[in-house]
Amino acid sequence: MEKNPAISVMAADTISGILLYSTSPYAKNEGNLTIDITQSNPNYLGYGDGLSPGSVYRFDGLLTIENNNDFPVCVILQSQSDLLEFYTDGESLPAISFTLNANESMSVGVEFNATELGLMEEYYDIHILEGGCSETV
Amino acid sequence: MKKLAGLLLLIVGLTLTIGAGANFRYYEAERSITVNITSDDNEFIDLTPLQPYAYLNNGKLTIEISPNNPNYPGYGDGMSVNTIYVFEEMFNVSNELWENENGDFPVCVQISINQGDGIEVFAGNYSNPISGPDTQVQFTVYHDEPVPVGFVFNNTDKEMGTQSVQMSINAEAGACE
Amino acid sequence: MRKMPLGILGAMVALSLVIGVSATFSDYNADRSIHWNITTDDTELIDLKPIQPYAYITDNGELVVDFSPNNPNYPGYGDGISPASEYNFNKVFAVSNHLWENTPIVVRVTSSDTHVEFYSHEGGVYAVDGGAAATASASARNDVCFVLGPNSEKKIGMDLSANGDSPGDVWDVTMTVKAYRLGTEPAELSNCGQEV
Repeated sequence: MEKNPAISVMAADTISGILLYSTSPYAKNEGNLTIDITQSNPNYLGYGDGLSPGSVYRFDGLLTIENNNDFPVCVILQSQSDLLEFYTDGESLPAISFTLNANESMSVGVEFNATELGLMEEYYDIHILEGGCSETV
Repeated sequence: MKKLAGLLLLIVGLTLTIGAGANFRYYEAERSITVNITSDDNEFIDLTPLQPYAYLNNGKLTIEISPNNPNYPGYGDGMSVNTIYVFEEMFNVSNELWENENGDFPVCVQISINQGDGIEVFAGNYSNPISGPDTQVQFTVYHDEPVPVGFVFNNTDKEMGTQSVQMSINAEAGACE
Repeated sequence: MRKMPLGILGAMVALSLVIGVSATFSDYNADRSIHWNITTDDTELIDLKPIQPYAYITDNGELVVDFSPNNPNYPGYGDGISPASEYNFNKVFAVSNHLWENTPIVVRVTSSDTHVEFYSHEGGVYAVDGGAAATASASARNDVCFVLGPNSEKKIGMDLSANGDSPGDVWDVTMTVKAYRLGTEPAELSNCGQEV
């Protein structure tokens, strides 16, 4: 039996050819791709219930964005939380952008700033524009 | 047709790579450690003077056989040359570690004095010591069972004047092996 | 044409339909979720777990080491350490690797005050400076590192050395714990027990 690959196909009507997926056990796909570091993730092994208070965590390549169009696109990821930032090769930022040529993909890391005990449910925004990112993006 | 083939490869590729990811990269946290400095008779390994020759100076156990000792009664200014004095029960060592709340938690205590100072230390009583007399002794202390420590002062070939030596005490959890 | 499992064929079809539909690409916006639990130090991905009563988890979930009567575990005796003494406590707390990935990590534990040093009686902990094994009082250091395999733990001991302090002094020390995926640790952490 084939396992469902952890990919999220954007079935929205304004998108095509862009795949968002994760190869990480901290991600789950129930319609939309969700990063889920809690016990409700089906990949939870029975230990490691979450992140600790007052700590910083980095996870490399937690999200992968792939452009399957035959033209370049500009991908912008914007965190909607003070506690989440993205990074590729360097420092983490609340928003990052990059150009993906045809059939290119980029893996993005996520940095978590954990503060107080509790369940955190935060969001990030994906914005995709046709054409490569301009200098001003 | 080309597009479809491209997609097929893409899906197969994805299936193969699923589960290969090891993403964790970095973690950092700061946590606090607090240590209280308290006097020798209130700490985890208490050193409690038993005789007036021993007292606490700025919280530190001090053995002083001279008029400088705050307990000096006005007589007996010290020991004379070419004598040997033995003092039993100069101070007690007791085990006040919190682990004893959950059951016996003995400690191994080591007391050391520099060789050549003419002083030896022993644990227990002089006729049947637990350890020593020697310049380094080692003994096990259980909670609620303090161990008395005594001294042998060998003043042979010493000159008049003040002698001062340092005594160091180490404690390790667990009975002495 | 090879027969393919229906699942894949079905997915292919779904994808190709999506591609066929859009004539012009227009920009796309979506929100995606990231959920994470912030849980206590002794239940998280990189656990810090108290072993002896001198260490405990606070109400806000953090590990604290406290050798004073302010510790909630204070039994009414043993108020601290004396001004000129050295204490070893084996196994005050443990660090464990509970990452969901099957990957080892390199952990660095540092104290801001050289009065407080770390070691492990079980071995496998090394001084960052020089790489000597920190296994007991004499070899304990305030900056140590070690490798933790998946789902394994290291019990950390502490060496407290007082010298020249006075009763009433309090050492307020910060312990920094850093962990790196094995292979990504900085060059200064090359002597932490990594297999060559």
